[in-house]
Amino acid sequence: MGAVLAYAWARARAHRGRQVLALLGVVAAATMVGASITIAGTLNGGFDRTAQRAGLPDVLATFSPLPRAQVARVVSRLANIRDASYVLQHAGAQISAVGNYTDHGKLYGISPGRHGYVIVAGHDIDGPGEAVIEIGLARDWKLQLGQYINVRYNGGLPLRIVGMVVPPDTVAFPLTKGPRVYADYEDVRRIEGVPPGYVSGVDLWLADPRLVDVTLAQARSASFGVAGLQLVTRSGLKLLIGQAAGIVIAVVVAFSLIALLVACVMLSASAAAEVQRRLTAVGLLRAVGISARTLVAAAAVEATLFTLPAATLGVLGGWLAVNGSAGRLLASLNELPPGTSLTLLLIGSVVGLTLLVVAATCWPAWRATQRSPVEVLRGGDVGHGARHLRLPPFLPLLGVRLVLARPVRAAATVAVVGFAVSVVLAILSIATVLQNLNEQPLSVGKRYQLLVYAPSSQLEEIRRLPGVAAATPFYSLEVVDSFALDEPFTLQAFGAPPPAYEAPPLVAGHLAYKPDEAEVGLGLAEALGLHPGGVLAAQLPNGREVRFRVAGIVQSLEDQGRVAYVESPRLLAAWNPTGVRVPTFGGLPGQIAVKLKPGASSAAVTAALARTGKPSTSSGGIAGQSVQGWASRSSGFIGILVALLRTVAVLDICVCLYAVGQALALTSQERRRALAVIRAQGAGRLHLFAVFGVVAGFLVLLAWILAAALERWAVAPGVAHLAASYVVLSLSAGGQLLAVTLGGLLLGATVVSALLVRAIVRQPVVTGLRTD
Amino acid sequence: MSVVARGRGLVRTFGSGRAALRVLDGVDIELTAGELVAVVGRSGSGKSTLLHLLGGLDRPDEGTIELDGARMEGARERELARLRREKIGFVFQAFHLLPELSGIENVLLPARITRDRDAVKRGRELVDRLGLDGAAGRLPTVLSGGEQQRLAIARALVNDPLLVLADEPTGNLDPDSGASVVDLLRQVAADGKAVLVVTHEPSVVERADRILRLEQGKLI
Repeated sequence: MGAVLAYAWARARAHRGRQVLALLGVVAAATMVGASITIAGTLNGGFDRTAQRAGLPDVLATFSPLPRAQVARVVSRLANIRDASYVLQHAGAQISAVGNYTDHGKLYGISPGRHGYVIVAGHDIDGPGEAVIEIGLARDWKLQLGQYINVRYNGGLPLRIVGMVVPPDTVAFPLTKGPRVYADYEDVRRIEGVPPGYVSGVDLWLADPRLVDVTLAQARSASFGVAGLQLVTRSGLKLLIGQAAGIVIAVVVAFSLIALLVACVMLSASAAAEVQRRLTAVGLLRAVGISARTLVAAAAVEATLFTLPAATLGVLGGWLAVNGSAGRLLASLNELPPGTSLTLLLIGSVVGLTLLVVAATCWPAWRATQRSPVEVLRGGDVGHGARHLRLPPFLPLLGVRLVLARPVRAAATVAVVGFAVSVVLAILSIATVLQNLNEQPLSVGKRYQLLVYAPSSQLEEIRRLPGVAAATPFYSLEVVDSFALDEPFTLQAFGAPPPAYEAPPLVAGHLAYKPDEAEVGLGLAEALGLHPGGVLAAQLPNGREVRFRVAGIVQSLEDQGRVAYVESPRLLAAWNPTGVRVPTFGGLPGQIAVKLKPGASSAAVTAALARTGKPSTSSGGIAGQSVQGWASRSSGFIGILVALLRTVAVLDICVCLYAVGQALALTSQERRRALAVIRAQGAGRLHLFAVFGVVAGFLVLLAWILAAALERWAVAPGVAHLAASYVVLSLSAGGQLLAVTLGGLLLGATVVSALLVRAIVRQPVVTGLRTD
Repeated sequence: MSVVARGRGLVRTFGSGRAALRVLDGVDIELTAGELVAVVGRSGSGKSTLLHLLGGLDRPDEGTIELDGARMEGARERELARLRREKIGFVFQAFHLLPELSGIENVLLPARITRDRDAVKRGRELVDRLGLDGAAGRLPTVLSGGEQQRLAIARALVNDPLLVLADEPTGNLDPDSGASVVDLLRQVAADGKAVLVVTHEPSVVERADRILRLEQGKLI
């Protein structure tokens, strides 16, 4: 064993360049893995982790202020209640501190007990005159413990900041419009101006959270007469937070895992190739009597000694690259960092990577030792397997021949790079969509992108506009439930079946394709206790009623899910039975929903519409209602998401280029004698650069074509499917993105080729000629 | 006849410190057009090293090398590549034909580097002249050693070099094939080129115009 390891050490010293290249490969792949693990470990499960630590209530009920005793009686009638905490909320509070001011503050008057937030600095309030503030407010306004915030009330109520908290039931300020301040109940009661003992919310912890549906049903029936009652469950909050950034988190996590897979495949291939290169030595060592077991054990020890530090360095680098962005994203969502669990994951990834390389080294080494030494000694000769490709007699194509002498390796390289680039394309597509939210309100989560303020008589004209794929009449109406008149909701009707234009993820039942069917938002279904097959009866503002059969329950993004999507004929008939047509059915405003062609510019179509006197606006969706709204308050949020996505993309591109570089370097190592012969014939640096540049370009081009196909037909639909629990995404890499990606890859391949050629020409020609 | 290549005081040492081995220790050599010079000596005496230095494949530690009036010892790699491309032809013991290329593609490889149409034409003529028509379209792996070496010589001559350097050109060949290769090199010299052959073979030595013996790092 010692002799074999000594030989391994001598070999590593003799081939420092190759060894460094191999270790750089491990570092690159480990960086990717480190970044992936950091993103996945940080973002995945952030809500659950924080909710668990905060002891977030299972149900949060809000209502118009009522005496606490009355609310307590209702609560006492509910089964399955483990604990309850009462709160008095004051929205629109005018809060100021150290030069900052907002009139959207949310004050929570709390009493001793459970509060559903995590204290991350200081302590909870002990009495009047004290406040704990959400950490987002502290960060944004740069507030410290012991400072005072002032609530405008009768000349001002100063509250001393005694603690900072993370409340996981909403995203952080300034992402959310109103910062949260928790103060003593009596302080808030005075500001709110309600009689003593009045509360406007109750947080409920259930004995068995699995029975939350039963508790909700009981709460609705027991709360008859409670005005403005809104019930939100912990899962509902998770959904709301998920609507905010869940899609991005899910996609980033998924991409990171894909990148992890790609990195692992590359490492395995690299390690296996390294053993392949040493076959002659393996045969020789076997020939002089070293046992197979010793050889495999030595390979394992050697791989461990070299890989462990490189993997540690890479994982650390990956962590450093994305930890800041991931942490800021997490903070924006009011979620706590993973703590030691991430450290354990990173350590595990170092160990896993090392084991992977060890296994990938030992397996071919073991296989090699199972063959006769003579057979193994012959194993490295490329010449016997040479194929004669009929290519034009240009020197640059020689590189293609050299690379294709190992067709399986070339195909594997193209496949790995192609797959990774397809992921990059999808990542950059999403980043582009997010980036555009700031400047161009595209809609994510809807199948239509624009709403045009125009009568349906202009439908055909709009359909003919460049970039318009389809258009249909659209009506949005505030209605109330016929059975519970205090339950308002939005009825949205299309001139086509709703799934063609509005496609929120389905929770239960099926999508509505018939004129008498409706898709009901989850919030509305929970409020009205609706189920698929039930009846949705909407009372219109004109006093008429229209009924639909509930086809399915959907996770709508609008109005907290208090919305229903239907086809328009029934609504129109009920609104105006005399049959007067759009645009105004006696006041019912008609608009036109417009779907754009893939890759069409929303801005261009908007401008074209404006030129013909038809103003338009974004269709809304997560873009219009959530992210874009946040963007106006916190453009940094989208910036963080985009930065995170682009970091992953850049790391992925680096891994791709490493794969190409590795394939070329391996070829140059294996064919160093052939290259020396070419150099002996007078080929200089430029000739070699042409040889390797063309082959690098060839590999990259093939991979890019594969990537474009994969992205269009596999990855993008896959991502859309992955995101289906949040929104409907229509992703497709546009021509510009494809061109930029190809350009970047070709540029990278050029640099890789130049570096490789530099390394080749630094070696004397005779070194290659002497090689056996 | 004119001097094609000249080496003065060539020193080449391998290794360092106590393990240093001075393979060439002040070698002086001159090669003129039209002569076939044989360099002989024991294994490890530095024959191939001398050939590599004269061919610009390696650099001397000391001394000067001049090829057709151009100094080589301090030349940049780009200049050395140009000299190899335009003025030197190499023939190796192990032929070193690229296994992916057919016989004719191997012969024309230097012409592809220079992108010289005349060289391509010359290469095709050489293949005809050397009777390699049958080998031209086949891969090296299916050719005999003699055919491979003749293809390698044709490759060395494609760019019409002034100096042909042959490193044990018959070392891997049977006597008959070896003899035909020596005939060929003799003919190359007769065509006005300087030919330097490193060899162990008496059959080659006896056909040389001049014999140089390399012993203890010096030519005698």
